Amino acid sequence: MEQPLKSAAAVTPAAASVGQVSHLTLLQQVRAGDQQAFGVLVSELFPTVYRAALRVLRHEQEAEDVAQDVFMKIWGDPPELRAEANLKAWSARVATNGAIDRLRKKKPDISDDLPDQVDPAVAADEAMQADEAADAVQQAIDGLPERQRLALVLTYYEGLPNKEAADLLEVSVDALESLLARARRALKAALSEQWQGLLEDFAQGGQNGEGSWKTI
Amino acid sequence: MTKATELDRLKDVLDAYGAKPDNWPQDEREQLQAIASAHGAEVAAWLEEARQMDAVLNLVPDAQVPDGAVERMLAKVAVPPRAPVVDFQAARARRSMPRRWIDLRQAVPVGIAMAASLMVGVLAGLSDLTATYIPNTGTISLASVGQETIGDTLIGFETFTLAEGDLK
Repeated sequence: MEQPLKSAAAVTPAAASVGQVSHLTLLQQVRAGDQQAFGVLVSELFPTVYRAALRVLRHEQEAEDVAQDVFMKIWGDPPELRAEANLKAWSARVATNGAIDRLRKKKPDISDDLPDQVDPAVAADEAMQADEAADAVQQAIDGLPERQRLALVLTYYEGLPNKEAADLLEVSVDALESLLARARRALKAALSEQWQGLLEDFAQGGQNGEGSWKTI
Repeated sequence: MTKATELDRLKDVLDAYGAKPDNWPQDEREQLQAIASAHGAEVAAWLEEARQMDAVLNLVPDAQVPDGAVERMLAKVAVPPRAPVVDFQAARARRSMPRRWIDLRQAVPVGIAMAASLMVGVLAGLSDLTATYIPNTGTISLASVGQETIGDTLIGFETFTLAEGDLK
């Protein structure tokens, strides 16, 4: 019996890349009450933060609410990040945690049950912006049992370390890996009829893919 | 770790995390990459299967941010302009106003300041001291230049203006 999701507590700033220095500079200015600097941060980071919340919640308004919470936190109590910290990754992680918390409040006992109804606005938006192949993949992901979907979202799309994703789902790392393997198998089964077409789409450029196979 | 155990672990990781080493557990990444390289032929099919799944997952597009979402966010922290309050003390310090004329040690409402200024002028017998509040500008002009003798005392005075920058 899997346990319900736990509260998202501590957030660990991720290791940073070089280009994040300007974000930290802006953060210093925000700490001094500079609204203009805050505006620049919001403009640059909002899409990342919003998408992180949307991937978990699948509801536009709720994702926007979570994104607003993240930025109100930055404005009201700017985080003390180390010089090498990555504010973008930190913000996305806070959004993911906030979204998980919100999901848990709505549904305290999330397990491998059937998924909720997807926000129609999201579905319509996705249908309009994505081609048929991408839409099929998105629908297959949305059709996964909730815990498998979240495991995939947290590790593959949000790039959380396995331990952190497991903590958020309140499962062991072994259990997380089992959820991930089941999710991938389920997706392949759901998309088996379109599989070759999907690979051809990817080879032609795809949506987020580079359109080429990476080698180890 | 035996070869079979190593390969089993690599298979589990590929099944769970996909083919990109960046997505593998950090503490095992280097070792697993070495195993994959060392057993290329044996693991080729597993890697191909994992790459295909990664490719399909990468077909999902990024969601668009709703129109106006950034503006709604920024509106939440916009600070409304505060009502102007005259800081006469600061203004006096900046403009070297003669203390004998007006000694307002604290910020007072505009109306009281105007009345006090006019009263000083009248009591001192000066004919040309004026205090004018200019609406919608946040500016008070107190105007009089020169000197006057009252009894044995020579009193100097000058013009100064409380401008918008004096308001806080």
